[in-house]
Amino acid sequence: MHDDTRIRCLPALRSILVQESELAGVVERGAALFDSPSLDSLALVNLVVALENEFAIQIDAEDLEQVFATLDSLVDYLDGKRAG
Amino acid sequence: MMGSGMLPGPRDLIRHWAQADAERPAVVTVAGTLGYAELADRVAAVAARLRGLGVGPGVRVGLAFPNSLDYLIWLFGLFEAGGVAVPLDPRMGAPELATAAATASLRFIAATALPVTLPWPPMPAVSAVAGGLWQCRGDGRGSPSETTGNVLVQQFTSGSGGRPKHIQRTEAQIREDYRHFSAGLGLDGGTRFLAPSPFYHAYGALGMYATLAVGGAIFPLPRFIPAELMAAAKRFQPTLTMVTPTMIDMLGKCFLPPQDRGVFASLRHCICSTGHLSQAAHDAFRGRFDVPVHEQYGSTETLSATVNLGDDFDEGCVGRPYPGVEVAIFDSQGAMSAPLVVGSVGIRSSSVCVGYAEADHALATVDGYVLPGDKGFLDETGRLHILGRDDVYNVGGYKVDRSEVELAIRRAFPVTYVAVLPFERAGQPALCAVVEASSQQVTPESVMAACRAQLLAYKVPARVVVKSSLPREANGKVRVGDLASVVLGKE
Repeated sequence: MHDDTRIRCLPALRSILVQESELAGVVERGAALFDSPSLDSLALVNLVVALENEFAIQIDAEDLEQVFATLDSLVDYLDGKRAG
Repeated sequence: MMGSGMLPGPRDLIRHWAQADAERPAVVTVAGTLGYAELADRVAAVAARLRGLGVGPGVRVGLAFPNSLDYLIWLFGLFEAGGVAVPLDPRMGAPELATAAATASLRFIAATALPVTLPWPPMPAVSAVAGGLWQCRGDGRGSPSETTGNVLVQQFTSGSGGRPKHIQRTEAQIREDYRHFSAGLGLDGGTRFLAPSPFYHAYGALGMYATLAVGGAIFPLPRFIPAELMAAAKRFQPTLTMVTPTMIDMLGKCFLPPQDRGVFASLRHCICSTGHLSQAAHDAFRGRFDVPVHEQYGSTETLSATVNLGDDFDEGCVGRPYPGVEVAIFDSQGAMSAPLVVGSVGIRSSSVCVGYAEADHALATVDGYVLPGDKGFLDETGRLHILGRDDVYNVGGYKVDRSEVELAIRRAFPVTYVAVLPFERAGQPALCAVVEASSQQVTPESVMAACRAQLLAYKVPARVVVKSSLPREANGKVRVGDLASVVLGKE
């Protein structure tokens, strides 16, 4: 992923994470998202829907645990979806 | 087509259709389709394994699975072995699991290792056997009174009204539930049930039993993600789905490519559990997919009771009783109320439970009607309208009906959930409104202003908390027991 794309994605992602999942303490790029106690099943769906609308994509990954493992892995997934 | 009055019993569902029509599709997943005969073979293998471990009549086994083929195989294998199923939330942590194992007196817990299931850490009360089965220290039999009456399932209530409790559910009660549900909806062998609501709750399990009872096919979804549900719908062409208000809300606002607007066109019934599906959420869903939403009322205590099968969604209206179910409204003295008079909702049928396993929790009943604790009224045409929980609070010597305050807030804003709860302020009782809504549209100040405009001063909440999302069960119900910490700002 190009760094300039990552730079554009990260602020939007952080904003969505805080607003939809109250993951205010989990916005560092390498920090674990999926294992955060704040990311219960409803917060995950909220997050998925917000990301879908922000980036105009459908998130239907079978391995959501890997996609949402960290902020970095999430950005990589979104970048792949947008490129596809 | 088999008449709904002749449906096989819950222990015989798979075997019945395997003998009647072996190749008929039973379960569809992304991996393929399994016919009834093959499903029956796998069920029989699990039953033999369980019998070999000593599981028989009255022995309790916990089942901690997301919706999956595995769950169906273990559930019906356990039924075939004669055991009692105790469905568990697969996301339970070790302490909750150990408590469940002890309080439900489990002999074993069966679980799978799907990605949505957290790893199971070692627990003092539970040890691994092998192949998805864990042995518990209990003998699995519970007290003598719990092993009588042909108990099929021991169900945890969701705890949405407070502390989770156990209910003993007999074969006859479960059969009556799927019998009247099938009859009310006119289900037949062509039923294709898309299942995102958890089977470990009575609501999600109902669709599963009813579909298998008529020889239909199930597409189990281990979790709800909008795009995954829509992808499954494209593949499966469902005629029936059972969702929650949260799911309707999410489907109404998720990203939707234009080509997916017709994705639910095959649905004959989109059933939604009661939980205050807002008019706005309904309209967004309906506007996108052109599918009517049928709101159903029921509870773990009463099972399915009423459904609004009309194409006339009206917030809070949950329609008419299923065949064989009676609904009445009672006043505070236990007398039956007239139409349009608000009171406590009572449900009477042969599928309602007779009590909780916990001796310190009595089930509220009047003349055989179970009162789940909801307030509502019957309109002139016999349709039931649900207003909220049946609670009246004393605030400074004044009686405040929480449903009146909640209704005032609902009238003023597009909220997805509102609850009015008591708390203490400077040692005095006061009310707090917990509102789930977009903070861009609703603020504590605007909620208070709306209440002041509609209510007497003593009914206006002293505190308002607005959250974009509240803690919920997997079936979408707000965990009311957790709202106290929201009120106190400790969540």
